[in-house]
Amino acid sequence: MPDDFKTDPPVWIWPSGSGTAVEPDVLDVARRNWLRVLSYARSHGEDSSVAANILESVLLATSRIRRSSEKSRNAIRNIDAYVYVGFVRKFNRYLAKQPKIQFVGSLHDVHTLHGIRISRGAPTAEDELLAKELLQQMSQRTRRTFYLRANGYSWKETGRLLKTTANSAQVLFNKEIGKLRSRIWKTKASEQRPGGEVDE
Amino acid sequence: MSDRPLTKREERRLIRAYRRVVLAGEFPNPNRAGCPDSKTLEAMALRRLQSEQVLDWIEHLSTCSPCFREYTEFREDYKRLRFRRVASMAACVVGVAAVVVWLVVNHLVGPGHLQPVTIDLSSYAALRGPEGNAPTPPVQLSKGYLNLTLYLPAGSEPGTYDVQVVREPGQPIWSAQGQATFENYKATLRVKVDLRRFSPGLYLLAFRRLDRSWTYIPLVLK
Repeated sequence: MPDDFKTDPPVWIWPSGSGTAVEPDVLDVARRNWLRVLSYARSHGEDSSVAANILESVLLATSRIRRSSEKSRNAIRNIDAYVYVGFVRKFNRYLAKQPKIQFVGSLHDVHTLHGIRISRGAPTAEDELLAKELLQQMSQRTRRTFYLRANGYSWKETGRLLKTTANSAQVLFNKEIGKLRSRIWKTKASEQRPGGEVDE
Repeated sequence: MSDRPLTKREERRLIRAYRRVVLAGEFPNPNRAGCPDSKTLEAMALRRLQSEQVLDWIEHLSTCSPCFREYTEFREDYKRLRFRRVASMAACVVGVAAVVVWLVVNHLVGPGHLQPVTIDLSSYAALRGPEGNAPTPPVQLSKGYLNLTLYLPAGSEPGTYDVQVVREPGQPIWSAQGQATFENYKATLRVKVDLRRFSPGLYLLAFRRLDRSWTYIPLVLK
């Protein structure tokens, strides 16, 4: 690690299982974003070791993806954002798997809701949990649509940016969110049953 | 629950919930790692960034609370500015429309309805002698914007005349001044009078040569 890397504790990235080293620019991403991912982990009650493990696996995966498809490097538009979002998703999945630990953003919190419904009026903490839960499961395209909408882009602008029509973007987005919401509800129902069977 | 798509209301609510999460600091970034500069954020807020660049930054923006806050402030400023612009433009449009309507009503429509009316008062001449003045019927006028031609009583001289419409002597509700000239051996006075706002009824038409005494003629406004 360079001397000027002053985050506490420093992040150490080991070569992947195959012995291949992580690319230097991906390592730079890790250095730049370490404090950021650490803050996220700490704000959710986890320590740096968990954050480091998850970031390491995300970096290895990112590096592997970039090596395996050199031609599609352009697919990663912003590697900092890509790694960070990958970390957040993986970290939240990790949190969701933790048994009997109550934390914001966990599926366990969602289970306490009276059905996965979006109620009327101003958004509540339940809506926030659902939004975070949905983001964990969205496809990249739907997530991008969601981000554009969250940043105030109209459907017309969103459609233009995603190179489709406003109507098509809206229909695809709402359908996928509807499906994901239903999936979350089914998961919840199965976990609440003693047998754990999912009703179809 | 079925796989029914989100309604517009649900979508709006979900988006607002997420915005609240990000603004509340869900994604801290103490050293602002990978953040765009303020100019880029402002350009995004003002929708001046190229599509490709928007897609480059949108993921970061949505998962970085400091950037999202800054962007939201730029966006709010832009919306306020746009609202002020639209409001001032609307005020200008309303103002121009009001002026146009006023011009049309008062200057274009008005003269178009100017009606020529002639009143012959030559029979109202004060006669001397034992027979006196025979009772004369009142002058009748319709409400409107009138171009009034008065043939003054016989013996009237040309010159400057005051003309009034009064309810009672000394209480004019309309007055004007005009020059009487001889036309076909008659003293003729031309004035424009707007009687549209007066209610129908009995009035007096008063006229006098400057500094002379008034002559009153009964006037029925229909």
